Amino acid sequence: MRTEQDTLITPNRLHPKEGEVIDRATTIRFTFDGVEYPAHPGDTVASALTAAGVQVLSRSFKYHRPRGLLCCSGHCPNCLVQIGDEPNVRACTRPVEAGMEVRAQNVWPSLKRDLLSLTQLGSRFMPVGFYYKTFIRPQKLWPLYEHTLRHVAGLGEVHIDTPLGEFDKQYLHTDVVIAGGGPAGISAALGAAEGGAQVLLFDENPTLGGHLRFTVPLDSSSTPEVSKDLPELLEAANQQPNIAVFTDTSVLGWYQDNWLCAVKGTRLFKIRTKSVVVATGAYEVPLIFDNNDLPGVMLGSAVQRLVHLFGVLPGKQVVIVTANEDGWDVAADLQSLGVNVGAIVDEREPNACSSPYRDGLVNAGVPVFYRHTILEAIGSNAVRGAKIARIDERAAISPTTTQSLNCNLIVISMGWTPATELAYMTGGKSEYNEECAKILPVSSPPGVYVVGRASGTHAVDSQIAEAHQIGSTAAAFAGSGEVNKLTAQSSGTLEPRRTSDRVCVPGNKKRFVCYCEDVTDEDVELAIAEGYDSIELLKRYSTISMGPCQGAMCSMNTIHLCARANDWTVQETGTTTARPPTTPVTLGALAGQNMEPVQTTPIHQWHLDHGAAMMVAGLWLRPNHYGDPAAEAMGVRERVGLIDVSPLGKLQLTGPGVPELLERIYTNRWENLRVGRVRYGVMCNDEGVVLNDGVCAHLNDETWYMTTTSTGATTIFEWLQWWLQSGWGEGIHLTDLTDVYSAFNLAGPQSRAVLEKLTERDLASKAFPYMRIRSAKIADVPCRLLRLGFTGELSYEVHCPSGYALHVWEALMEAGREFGIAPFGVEAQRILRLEKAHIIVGQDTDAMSDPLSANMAWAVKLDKPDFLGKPSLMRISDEGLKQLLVGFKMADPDVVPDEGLQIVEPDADGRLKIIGWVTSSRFSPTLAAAIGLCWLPPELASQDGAPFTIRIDGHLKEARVQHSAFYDPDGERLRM
Amino acid sequence: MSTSKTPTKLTPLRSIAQRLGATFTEEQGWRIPEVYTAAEGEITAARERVVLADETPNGKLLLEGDHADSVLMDALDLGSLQINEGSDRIYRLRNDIFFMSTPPGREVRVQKKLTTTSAVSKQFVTITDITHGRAEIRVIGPDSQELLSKVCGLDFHPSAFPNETAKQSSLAKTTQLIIRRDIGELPAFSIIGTQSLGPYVWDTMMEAGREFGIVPIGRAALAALEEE
Repeated sequence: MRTEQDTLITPNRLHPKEGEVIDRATTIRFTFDGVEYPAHPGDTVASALTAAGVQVLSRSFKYHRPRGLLCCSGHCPNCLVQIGDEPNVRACTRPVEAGMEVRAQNVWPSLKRDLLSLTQLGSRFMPVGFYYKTFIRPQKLWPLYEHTLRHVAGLGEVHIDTPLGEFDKQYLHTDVVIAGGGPAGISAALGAAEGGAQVLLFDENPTLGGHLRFTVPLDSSSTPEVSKDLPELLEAANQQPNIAVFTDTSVLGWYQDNWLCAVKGTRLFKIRTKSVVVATGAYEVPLIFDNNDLPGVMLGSAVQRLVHLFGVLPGKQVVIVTANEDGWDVAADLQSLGVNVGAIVDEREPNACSSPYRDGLVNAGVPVFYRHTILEAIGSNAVRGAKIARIDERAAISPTTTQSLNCNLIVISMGWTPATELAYMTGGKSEYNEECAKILPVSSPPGVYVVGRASGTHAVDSQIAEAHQIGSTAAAFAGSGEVNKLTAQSSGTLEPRRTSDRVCVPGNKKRFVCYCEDVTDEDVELAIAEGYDSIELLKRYSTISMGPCQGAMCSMNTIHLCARANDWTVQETGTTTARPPTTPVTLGALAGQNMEPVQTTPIHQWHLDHGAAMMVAGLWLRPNHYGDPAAEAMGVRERVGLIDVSPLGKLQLTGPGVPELLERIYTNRWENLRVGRVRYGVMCNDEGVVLNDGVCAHLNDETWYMTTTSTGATTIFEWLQWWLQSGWGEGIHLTDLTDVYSAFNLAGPQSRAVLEKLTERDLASKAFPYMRIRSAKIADVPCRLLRLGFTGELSYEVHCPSGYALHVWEALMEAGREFGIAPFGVEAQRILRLEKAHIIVGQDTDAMSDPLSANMAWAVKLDKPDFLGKPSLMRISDEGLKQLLVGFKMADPDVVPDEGLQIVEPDADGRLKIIGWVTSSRFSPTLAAAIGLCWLPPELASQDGAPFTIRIDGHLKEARVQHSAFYDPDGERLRM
Repeated sequence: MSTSKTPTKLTPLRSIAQRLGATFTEEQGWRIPEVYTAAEGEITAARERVVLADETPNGKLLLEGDHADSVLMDALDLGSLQINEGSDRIYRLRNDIFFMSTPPGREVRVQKKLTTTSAVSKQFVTITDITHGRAEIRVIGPDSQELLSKVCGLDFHPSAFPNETAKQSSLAKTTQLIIRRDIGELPAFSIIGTQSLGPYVWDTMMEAGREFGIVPIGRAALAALEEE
C-alpha cells in the first residue's frame, strides 16, 4: 500500500493516468546506495528514483561528472548502475524489484561526493588520446598506470566470486523477422503474416507500440488520429496466429544469409530467416552546448516516457529547446499536466512552426523565443537555469542577446536520426538526405527491407501503410503471397527539415559529444587537427561511439562535427561501419548454457565408486589414479593390474583395398601382416611429422582393426575419411568402433592366470604369442583379445561390446582377486611405459617431430614404394637429424625434472645455451631412479651414458643418456 | 572357463537412472529403467510437456557400400529412399550409407540376413552392428521441438523436419543422428550418438528442459504411450 510517507518521498510522481504501466496499488522497496526508496511494480529503477527526486544516477567515465537521465530508453550511458553482482545495468529499462540493491558504480568514495571528479581540474592536460601519448614511457611504469587508470576510468565491476548465471541459447527459424515493434514494425508483421508467412516480431521494450506508447497527448480534445491506431494494431497482431512476439528482446546483429541474433535477458536467440524487415525506429539527437550533460537536461522523448508510462515528472520548471514540432508536443503534454513550461526556445522563425498546440500554448502565456537557442545549462550538480541567446541573420549566435531563464528541467527536442545499424549490417547503402537532414538507407540486399522512422518515414499513418505493403513483400520474398514492387527506400513522408544543421553551440565550458567516453566537441576538433580526419579514424582515436551507446547518442553529431571541421559535406564524411552487437550484451548471454562435452567410459561410475581421481584427456574423463600411482605401477610389475583404456580409438577397415591403404598411411610395411597378427605403426603427414601411432590387427581376409591414441581417434577417423574420399577409398569401408567396444588392459605377470579363469581360449604363449589378436569369450561375452605390451609386462587388451563393459570389468577384477589384482590409472601407466621408454605421441612429440628424430627409425621403411611423408623423411634422412629423442636417467634419483625443462650447456663465453628439453619424466618405483625422455642434439644423444645438465629452478642437475629401455630392455617379460 | 553370471547389458545412462531413483527391468538382455516416479505421471508429462527416455537397447545397424540400397531392397523389400528419408526405420544418411534401427535384440537376425544377401549378391557392402556404441535418447512431448531448439540449430518444425526423417547435426556441440519418430500426434525425436557422450547429452537436455518441466520416463510409460 502507498503510504503517506511514500507520497512525501516521491515528490515527482504524478496523479494516476490512463496508459501508465505501473501498479499503484502495490508499493515495493529497494535501495540505491544504501538508501531505501519506494517503487511500484512496473517502475524501472530510474523511474522510481526520479519519482523520489533523485537526479544524479551515475558519474561519467573519465571526468566523473554527475550524470542523470538523458534518453530514458536504454541507449545512453547516463544511468548505468550496479545491481547486486551485475554491473552496467541500465536503470531506465531494468524493472525494479522488491529488495533490489542498486549501487552507483565507478565512484569513490560516493556518488554524491566523488573525489575522482577532481580529474576535471586537470582536464586541459587530458585531451583526447592523451593516454596514448602519456603513458607509454617509462615502459616499466605501465602496470602502475594501468592499475590507476582502471580505477579512475571505467564502468562497473565484475567480482571474481560472482556465481555463474543461468544463460542459454535458442535457435529460431522463420520466414520473416521484424526488428522493431513500433507502429511500422507491427504493421509490417501484419502484412507479412496476412501473406501467409511465419513472422517473428522483436522489440526491445516490454510492450509493443514504439513511440505511440508515450507520445499520445494528454489533452484528449487534441488527440491526433494516429494515436487511435495503436490499439487496433495491437489487437490485430494479437489475433494473428502467424506472428510470434518477443518483447524485451534486442536484435543484436545481422550476419550473412539472414542469420540474426537477438537477446532477451539471459537468453540469446540465433535466428535463421528468409527475409528481414528493419523497423528499429529512430534515436532522438542531443544538442551540444555548455554543460549539456548536467542532470536535468533530458531528451523530449525521455520526458514523455517518464510522464506517460510511469507517471513521473522529472522537473517542475521546464525550458524546452527545439527545432521542430516534437518540442511543442512535449510542451503541450507538460502544460496539460499543470507543469510550468517556463519557455519554448525554438531555433526556427515563427512562420516555420506549424504545431497544432502553438496557439494554445501561447494563449496560456508560455513565453516563446523564436530564432533562439540554448547556450548553457546552469548548475553544478543539477540544472538550475538555462542561458539562451538569439541567432542572427547569418545563423550565428548573438552574444549580446544572452539571457538566463530559471528552470530545473531542460528538454532537448532537436530532431531524430534513424536507427539503421541493423540495416547497414546487411550491406545496405545510405545517403545523406538534404530534405530532412538525415542519413537514410537507399538500398538493401534482396530480402532485407527498412520501414518506418528507420527509413525516414515520419508520419505514423504513412509508416503503417507503407510497412504493411513491405511486410507483404517480405512474405512474398520468403515464398508466401505475391511480390510487391516496393523497395527498401522510403516512399512516405519525411520529417520536416530542421531549421539549421546546428548540432553544437559554442561556449567556454564542457560540451559533450560522446557521453560514454566523455569526449567533447573540442576533443573532436583536436583529433581532426592531429590528422584523424576520416570518420573511421576519428572513431578509433577518440573512442566516440565505442562505448555503451554504440553511437546511438553521438554518431550523427560526430559526423556533423567532422564534416564541419574538414569542410566536407555530410555525404562526403560518411558513416562508421555498423557491427554487432547493436547494444551491449553480457558475455554470459553470448556463451549460453555451459555445454562442454564430456566423454565417459561405460565404467565411469565404478571408477568414482572406487576412489579414482579423474583427469581430463581430450574430452574424456579418465582415472588418473586410485590413490597411489606408484603402488599401482608396482602392482603391475609384481602381480597384475587392470586399466580402463576404452578411450583408445578403434577403427575397422574392410575391403580388398585396405592393405594398400595401410601401406600409404603407415611408415612401415603392412602387406605382409598375416591374419591374426598385430603390428605397431606410425602415421605421418606430408611433412613427415608424426600424427598418431597405434597398432593395427589383421582380423580376417578383408577386415582390419586399427587402434589410435585416445585423444586422436576422431582426428584420425576424419583424416582417413578424407583420404578415402580423395581417391584412396576404392574397395575400402571405414567404420568407427571406438564406442562400440570398451577396452581394458590386463597387465602383469599374473595376467594370463587371471584371464584363463574367464575363457576357454588357449592363452599359452605358443597358441597366443605376443602381438597377436584372437577372438574369445571372456566371462561369456564375445571379445577381441590383443596381446600387447605398452606397460612392458605380459598383458592382454580385452575389447568387449560396451554394453557388457561393467560385467567384463567386474569379472576380471573378481577373477584377479586371488592374484592381488588392482585397478591402475593413467599415471601408473605413464610410469610403466616410461620405464620401457615408449613414447606418447603429442607429449614426447610435437608439431615438428618426425619419426626418425623420435628414435623410431625402426618403424620407418624408406624403401617402401610410397607412403605419406616419405619424401620429407628421405630429405631429413639425407640432411641428418637436428634433434634426437632419447632416454635419460638422473644422477640424483630423488631429483625429477619437470616436463618441459630446458637442457643447457655453456657456450664459449660461459653463458648457458639451450640444447634440448625434457618431454617426459617420472620417478620409477621399479628402478628407484628418476628417468625420462628428452630431445638432445644427435651428437650428444648418440653417446650412451653421455652426461648433460638440466636446469631445475636455476640449478644445474646432471643426467645421463640411456639408449636402452630402463626396464626389461630385451622385452622378455612381454613374451612370457 | 566362464563365470556363472549371465551377462547383462547396461546402457551408458544407467548410472543417471539409478541416481534419479529408477526401478529397472530387463529387455533382450538390457537393463533399462522401468519407472522413475510413477508411470501415470510420466505419461502425463509426455503428453503435456516434454520427457526423455533411454532407448539405447534399440538395435542399430550401419550399412555402407555403393550397393547397400540393392542389398536392402533384396533382403527387406525396401523402396528407394532419398538422403535423410526413412522408411520402416531404415534411414539413408548418405548415398552409400544407411542407418537401420530395430527393436531390441532383432538386430542380430537382421544383420545375419543382410550379410547373407550381400554375400549372395557378391556386392561389397559392410554391415556393422553399432548397437553397443550408440546411446539413444528419445525426446517426447509437445515441448520437444522447443527443447531441441535450445541445443541444436536445426529447424524442428514438421514442415522442415517431417516424421520419419533423419538428420545428422551438431547437438550440444556433439555430433548426433536425429530421427523424428512421432508417437501418434505426439512429437518425438530419437537422439542417437556415441555412447560415451550419452550422459553428457542427457544431462544437457535435462538442464535445457528444466523450464518446460522435463522429466525422465521409463519403459512402462513409453510402452503405454506407444500403445495408444
